[in-house]
Amino acid sequence: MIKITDLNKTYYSGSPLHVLKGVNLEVEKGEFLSIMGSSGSGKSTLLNILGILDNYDSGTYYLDGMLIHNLSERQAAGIRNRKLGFIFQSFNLISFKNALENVALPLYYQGVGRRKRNALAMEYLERMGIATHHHHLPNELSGGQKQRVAIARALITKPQVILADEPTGALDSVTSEEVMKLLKEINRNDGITMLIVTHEQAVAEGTDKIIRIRDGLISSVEITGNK
Amino acid sequence: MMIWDRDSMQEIWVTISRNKVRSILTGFGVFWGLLMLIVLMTIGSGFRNGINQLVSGISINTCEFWTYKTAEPYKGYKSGRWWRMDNRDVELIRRKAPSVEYIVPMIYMRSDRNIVNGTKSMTAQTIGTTADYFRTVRLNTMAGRVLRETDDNSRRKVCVIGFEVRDMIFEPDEDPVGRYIKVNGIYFQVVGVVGRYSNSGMNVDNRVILPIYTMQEVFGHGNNFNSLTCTSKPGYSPGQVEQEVTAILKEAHDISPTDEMAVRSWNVEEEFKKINNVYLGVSILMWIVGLGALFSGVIGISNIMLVSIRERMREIGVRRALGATPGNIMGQIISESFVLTGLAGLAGFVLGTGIAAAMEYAMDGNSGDGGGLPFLPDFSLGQALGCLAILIASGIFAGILPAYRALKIKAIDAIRDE
Repeated sequence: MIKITDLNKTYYSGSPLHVLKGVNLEVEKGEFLSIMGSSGSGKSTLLNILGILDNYDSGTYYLDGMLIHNLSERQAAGIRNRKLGFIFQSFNLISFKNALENVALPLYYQGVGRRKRNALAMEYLERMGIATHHHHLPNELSGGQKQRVAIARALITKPQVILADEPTGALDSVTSEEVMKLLKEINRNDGITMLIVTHEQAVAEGTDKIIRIRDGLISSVEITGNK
Repeated sequence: MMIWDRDSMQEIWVTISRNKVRSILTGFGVFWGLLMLIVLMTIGSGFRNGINQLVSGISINTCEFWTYKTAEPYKGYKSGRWWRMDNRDVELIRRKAPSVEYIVPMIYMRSDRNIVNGTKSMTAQTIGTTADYFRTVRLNTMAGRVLRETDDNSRRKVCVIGFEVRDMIFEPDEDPVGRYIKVNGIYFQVVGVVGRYSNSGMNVDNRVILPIYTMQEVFGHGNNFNSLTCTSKPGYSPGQVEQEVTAILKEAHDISPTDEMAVRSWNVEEEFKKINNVYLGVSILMWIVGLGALFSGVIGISNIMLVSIRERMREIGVRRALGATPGNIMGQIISESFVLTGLAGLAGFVLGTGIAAAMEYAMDGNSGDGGGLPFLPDFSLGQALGCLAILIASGIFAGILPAYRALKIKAIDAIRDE
């Protein structure tokens, strides 16, 4: 599903910062893995490149057999919209849209009609168990509820890969566990490949495989045996 | 994807109404700008219409001459000599001035209670002139006819009267044409009634017009007359007429060619040009002021959109991450500024056209003579469409810079949690 070879990335703000120094990574379809590393290790950069939110300097990145390099903004937007789902630490729901509208937004950019869009969004909210809150604005929801809405939004386009950046970072431990359980279910039931960036050991241990990054290189790959 | 579907309209409305006070304050600039533009356009066209009305009764190719005392001694004459134009001059000009079409000499006469019909009498200026006069001015012939060459040639005792004279000395049900009235003690037959075509030019409404030769003979003016008006032939300018006629008059009356004082003249075209330049200046000023006001309003909208984009960086970043294309984002930003500009501008447009209509109503028929320039405000459909076109262009223009700025936002920078 994802194949990365010798990926390099340098930031040129002030003094050049060589963040990724030849990363190699292969992720099979349906894998449930976490990426760990201290801050500044390059894990977020890697996730951004995987999410086609950032470019890389050299190496190759194949997503679903397609070379991702120097795409136009338009092409990148299309791939993000159809193949990738994002889950963020701070949820990033749009504050003036209610839960239903937030979930339906990716379909809006696909040009799906309003009625069909809202019906699908309702379905996903139901799956997340928060259908009763569909008309609530984000600031009327708890952290866990917000993240469920965000997960529903990531799922609604039936992506092949979900990229989660510290999905439990802003949640308490009980809610964290629930969210992780939910992500695992989605992975098991829908076969969606899931990459979770985290620095919480407990979260990482819930996944099938832990990839540790240190100083811009993958330092270890650990199979947790959860599967 | 459609930009103007229900969802995007809803989104635009939400973002505009989220900052109600800010949106209203910002929109006020555009509102005021369009209001000013329309009001100033209306005032500008008021001046133009006024000037058009002013000159509509005058032939623009006219030059008028009258006499003054000489300023230089010449051919044995001392300076300070008074001289008079006479019938010989008319013949000379007709023969020697190729630029002149019509030659209209004129005599003025006035005395107390000089116009009498039976028991009714009034004071009115009496003018002696030729048939050519009626070819150089635009008049309403209300009854009968105007003067003809044969009236002069046969020294007929006929007259044309202004309608105010008719009203004063005739009963309302009387037909004046064919009747005899006493003009300065002599009976003349009324052949026609005339009225002014516009407020400009000589007021004939309260005058009595006689054939000039008859007048010279009957009232003892000899060959002389008081003023002379000439018009130019097509292809010649009134300026040429002024030069040629002045030279002929000076030669005929032994006036030094360098005498600037003795022959006075007035060239309508030149005066008209002056007025026209004033109008042009005024209207350019109004456009600058009006468009300037609108433009500063548009800049205000652009500015507030930039602020709003800064505030919404994260939202825009999230949209990009969820698959919004640059076109989506650009369309959204431009639509927002367009709707904001459009709503504010429409309010200004409605109030502006209202004020324009009120001005038209208030000023209509309120342009009498003696009150300076006639002023006829007018806001036409063409001007209205022009304003709307300017408004639409401004709306799009206001959004371009903010949209460009929004495109520069990278999803990654916007959604970064640090």
